Parts: sequence; C-alpha cells; structure tokens
Amino acid sequence: MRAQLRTLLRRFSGRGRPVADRDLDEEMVFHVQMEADKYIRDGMSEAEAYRRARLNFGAYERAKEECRDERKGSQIDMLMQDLRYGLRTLLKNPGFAIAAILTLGLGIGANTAIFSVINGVLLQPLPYANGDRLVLVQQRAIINGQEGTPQLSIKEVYDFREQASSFDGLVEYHTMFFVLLGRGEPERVETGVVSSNFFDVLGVTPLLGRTFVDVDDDLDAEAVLVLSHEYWQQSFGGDPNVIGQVFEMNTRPHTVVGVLPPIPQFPNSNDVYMSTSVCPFRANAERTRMARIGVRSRT
Amino acid sequence: MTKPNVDLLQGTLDMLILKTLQLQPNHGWGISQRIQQMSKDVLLVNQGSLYPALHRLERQKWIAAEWGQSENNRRAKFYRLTTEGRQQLEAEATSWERLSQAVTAILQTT
Repeated sequence: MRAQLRTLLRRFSGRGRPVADRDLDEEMVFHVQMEADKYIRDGMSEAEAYRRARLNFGAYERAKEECRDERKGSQIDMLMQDLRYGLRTLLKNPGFAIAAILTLGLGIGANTAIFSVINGVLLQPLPYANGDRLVLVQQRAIINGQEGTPQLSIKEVYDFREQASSFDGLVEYHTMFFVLLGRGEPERVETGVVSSNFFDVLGVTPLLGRTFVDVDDDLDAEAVLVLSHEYWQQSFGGDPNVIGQVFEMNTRPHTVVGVLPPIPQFPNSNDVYMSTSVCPFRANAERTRMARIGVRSRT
Repeated sequence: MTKPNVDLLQGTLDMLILKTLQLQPNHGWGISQRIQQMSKDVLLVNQGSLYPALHRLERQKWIAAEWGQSENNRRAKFYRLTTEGRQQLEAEATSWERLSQAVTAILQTT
C-alpha cells in the first residue's frame, strides 16, 4: 500500500505548484484512499483495492480540470485574474516590462504622429469652404538651364485670369516683409499680398471689420490692411478698436479694415494682408516672377 | 453495485450535496457514500462530477471547506453548509417538491 500511495503522491505533489492545486490533489488522493480502504475491509487485496478505487474515480486530470474551471468562476473573475497575473509578471521583470512599454509607446507614438501628418496633409481637405476644390498652381519651366517651378510674373497671372476656364475662382498671392511704423517700435511684419477676392474664394469671413473688396484692386485705391488673428492677439492684445487705426508702411498710410478669424493660414502664415495694388514692388515689376496663384476648380 | 442506478438530473447533485451536509460536515468521499446509502444504492455519484460540484458550491459560498482529520486519522477536506447554503437548500427542496409532484401528476394521468 505504501508503494501505491507514494506513486499517487508523487504524481500529484509537484513542488512550486499553487496551493489550490496541491489541495485538489490531496483531496482526490484522500478519496481514492478511502475508497481503497473500503475494499480492503471487504477483504480485497491492497493492490486490487487500489486498482478498483482508482478505476472508480475515473479520469483524475479531467476532474481536476473541471474543479479548476468551477473555482475560476465567471468570465470577469477570470479576466481579473489574468490581469493580475499579467501585472505581477510585469512587476517581476521590470526590465522586460519597461522595454515592452517603451516599444509599444514609441510604436504607437510614431504611428500616431505619422498618421496626424498624413491626415492633415493628405486626407483632410483644407479647412475652407470648398477646401477639396482649392489648388495651388505651379508651372514647370527651364530657366538658366535648370528645371524648376518658377513663380509667375504678374503678366502671366493676368493671362491665367483672362484665359483659364476650368476654374471658378483664381487668387493671386505673394509674401513680402515690410516695416510697419506707428506702434512705438518699428515692426517687421510678414505680409501676404493678395488679390481682393482672396478671402472670398477661400470662404473666409472676417472676425472684425471686412476683408478686401473689388475696389481695393484699383491702382489708386486707398491702402488697407487685414490683420491675422495671431498678429492681432500678439501685437494688439485682441483690441477691437484696432479697426480704423492707421499705420505707415512703404511711406504711405495704411488703414486697418479687418481682422481674420483664428484659422490656419494658407499657403503660409502672415501677420498682415494687403491687396496687390498696394505692394510697391508688384506695381513696378509686371515681368518679375513673384506671384503664385491658387484656383478653385469647378465642381 | 449490481442494482441498476439512475443518472442524476442536471442540478440535483448540488441539492443532494447540500442535503447531505445539512446533517453534518463531511468530506467528498463521505458525501458520495452518504448519497449512495440514503438512496439505497440507486444513486451512484460519479467522482468526476462530485468534486467540480463541491468546488462550484464553495465558490457560490453555499458550503465552506476546511482541512481536518478524517475518522481514520487522515488529512481530509471537510465541507459544511453555510447559512446561505441552508437557505439555498430550502429553496431548491421546495421547487423540487413542486416539480416532482407536477411530473408525477402528469405521469399518473390515465
């Protein structure tokens, strides 16, 4: 009987296994022993008694498995157990845990960053009215033996405006730095020089005052400025009384007529906007390649 | 064991275990012997379902387990009925009564 007992015990008592598991083994071994004792009392030989007892019991491992399943309880209990186990394992191997977390973090971070860029640049239309129909037009040409995308001369802009028929809106645009006087310190402002229909084609309505109107394109028009929201906040503290104030640029007075809403500016950010008729360089350089055009395609 | 025995209806094993423990705390083997005796050898409890049932009942807190000495001085896991288990047994016994009466009534209809 000793021998059989030992085999049974050896089978069931592994070192380092959970207490619950060992208890389960012990409980079942006890059952078989009791059953065998009964047969021995009935006069059976020890070996035969154990054989019968063991046979009666049926599949140990399956019974144990089912006991474990019953103990585990509901799905949520099991999930919590798994989570606790996962956490314990991570705490036990901090090096591995940190490596894993860093790997995941960097991976997710990099993916998010790349997606943000692709989403903003490629997937989302421009944040303007009909943003999906706005196109920045470039021409390819060989100048001085080099192929490039030179900007357009003012005369070319006029040609486009008069002859191109695939667009229902065409805006002219270039950027210059001018010095703005009249605010204590002279201030160097990045100036978007735009055709008067620029904000209308983009579908931007001003936060304060107005944007440009047709007469602003006239060469003898009064010089007016539209401020970007950022510049207005930064340099004027968001003061609404800025409308009507006069500043000197390029040795002539410029009147502030409007402030833009807080929108991303396209193609680039400017402090102030003036109409093309007011830019002293453009007026004298109709053949200089200085302008870009944006168009709104027909639907 | 020559007598024909019947399969236990689903769920009745739990009730029988609770009933057995109502008399006195017992270990798994004792419970299976008890059920066999009380049913006059008609019901044989399969170990493969007895122990899972015990662990299930323990998880539901209808029975509680502790290790103790068996009648022949072996370490054994004893189960006893808890207060919840007692209530559960009453509820199950009542509904079993109603069920068996209903089934009997139908079978006896001629």
